[in-house]
Amino acid sequence: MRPAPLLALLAAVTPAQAAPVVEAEPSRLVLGPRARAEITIRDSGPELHGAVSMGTLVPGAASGDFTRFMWTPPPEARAPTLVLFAFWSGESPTLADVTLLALPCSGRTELAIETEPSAQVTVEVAGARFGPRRADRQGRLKLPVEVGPHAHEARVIAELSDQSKIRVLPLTLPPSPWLLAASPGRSSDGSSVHVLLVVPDTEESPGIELVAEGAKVEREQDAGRRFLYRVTPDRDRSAVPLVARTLDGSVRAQMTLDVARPVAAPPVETPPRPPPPGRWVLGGAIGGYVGGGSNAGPEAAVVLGYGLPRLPLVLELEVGVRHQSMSTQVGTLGVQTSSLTVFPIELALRWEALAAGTFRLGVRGGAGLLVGTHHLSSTFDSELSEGALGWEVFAALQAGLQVGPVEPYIEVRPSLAKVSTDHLEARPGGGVFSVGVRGEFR
Amino acid sequence: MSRARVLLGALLLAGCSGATLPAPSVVSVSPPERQASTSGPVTVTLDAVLPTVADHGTNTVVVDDRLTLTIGPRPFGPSRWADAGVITDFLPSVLPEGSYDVTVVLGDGRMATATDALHITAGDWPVGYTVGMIGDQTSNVPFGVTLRAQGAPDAGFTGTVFLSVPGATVVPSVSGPFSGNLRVETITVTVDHPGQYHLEVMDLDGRPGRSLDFHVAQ
Repeated sequence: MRPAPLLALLAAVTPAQAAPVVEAEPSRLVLGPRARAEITIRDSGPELHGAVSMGTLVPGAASGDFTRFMWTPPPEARAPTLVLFAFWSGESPTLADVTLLALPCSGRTELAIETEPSAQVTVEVAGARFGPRRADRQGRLKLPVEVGPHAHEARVIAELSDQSKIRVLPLTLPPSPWLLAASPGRSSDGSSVHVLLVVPDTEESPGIELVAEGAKVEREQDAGRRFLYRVTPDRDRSAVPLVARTLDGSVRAQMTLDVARPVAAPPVETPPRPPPPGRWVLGGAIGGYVGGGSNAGPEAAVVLGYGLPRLPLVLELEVGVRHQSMSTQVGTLGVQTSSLTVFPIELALRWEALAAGTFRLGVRGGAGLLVGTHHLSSTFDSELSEGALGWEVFAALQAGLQVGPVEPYIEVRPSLAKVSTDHLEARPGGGVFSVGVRGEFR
Repeated sequence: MSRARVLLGALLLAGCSGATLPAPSVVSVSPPERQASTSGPVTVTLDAVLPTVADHGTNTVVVDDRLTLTIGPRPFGPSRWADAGVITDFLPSVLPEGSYDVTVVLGDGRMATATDALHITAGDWPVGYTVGMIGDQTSNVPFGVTLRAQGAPDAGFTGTVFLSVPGATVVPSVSGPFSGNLRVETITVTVDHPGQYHLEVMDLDGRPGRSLDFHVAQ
């Protein structure tokens, strides 16, 4: 008959409902090639975490009210040991949130005994009896026994006719490993993590010490042989080795805490970060231009751009409007007024040359057509309206600030522009100054 | 887009640039009708876009304001565009009965003709003309002469007459308008040789008049 499952409630310091209920099947076992145990957790919250002091803990079946793990010892493990399990929910547990389970694992060994010749020998180890078996004529005997992690001695009872002799053999067992686990399992950007340390009750060496290389260690809680630490990695550390040991320096558990660092922001001097692929840019600008004489006036434009994938380049289509007008006395005839309205339709390529913090610097170049209308009116003859077609070639410098999803900017644009008809000579360009705002969308 | 479409688009865009100026027009002629024996101002109203080039870089406008206006065979008005196209000039009684076209030609060659825009009706002419006494004169020096219409219609003669000096040149060749059957005209006679000359007048209907001889010195 198997022993009943051992309900592990070692952590019930504060309200029990905070910690899951854990049971193991079997509740104790003998180490060997087929040794394994099934760990069942009930009443756990979301984000169930588990840790074990040795061996491998693998998630198994799960349903709405339980989660099951399969534990297997290391293949070479044969020495008696007390295996510790810990389970908790969430990333920031307290000791009250942690449920511990101790699984005694016995080792099978052959005890070499020297006693009286032909004696009937029985061995008691931690309450379990092995034998009886008779010694040979030289009094030697080898008896297979199972030794649990709590055993300290073996009592050898030799019976010969009516005499009985008891000898006590001290048993020296290797120390059971401690349980050392971090929650969360890695530090994000150097933030502190909780580290759980549980010392088995089989530990005989004095003192408990948790040592971290490159991190600050603070004890948050302790209850008996359970400890909760706060470990804060130093700056620029990518990993922190943790060692749990006794005061005499015997290492009982160790682990490495990984520190996840975000990708560092590019410094000011570095080239602009590569833009994400497939982005669209929509913006608008208003301003004015001065090109000499009456070649001056207000201007406005709408710009639709497409950011080239993996390049700091934006291909832009600009559609705008400009207006200029002049009035001149013509001899004794009267006053002649000439007004020109053009709609630039241009293609440009913008290089996002510099992005430092929120500051943006860009260089543009482009060319296009100037389509418009020219209107002549006077005090001495009839009015005339005509279509006008011209061109512009320009280079521009832009400076902007990224403010949330939008980027206000200013632009200075030297340009060569010309619009001429049989009745007009105009250069609606020269120096174009504008302020604008744009935003990206995908 | 095919090459043909690109070419078509370019042509359309080119077509949008610049405009062929519209032809001028004769909006009105006032008065539209006149008696052949009368003279006076005629107003021709024109509508046109003058050839203009505006240079926004130099703030200058160049306008070709040359103008040629004719009523029938006769030049009329100034040779430059003026008064916003409202051209008023004196028309002497030199056109015989009939209908006359009014033609305008601008400096770039654009022209327009208003067909039969001025109608000349039959005249009511005097019987003849007398010329007042003319003293000795000097060639090419203006002097005044008094012209009188004889046997004029009841309303009086308001026309003009042709002036000529046989053997010499006289300016003007057409007098100003008579008023109250009287016209005091300042004329200039230019002769090649000093001598005796006389002034002849004749209206469009051929009614004559003649002065006594007068001496013109060189």
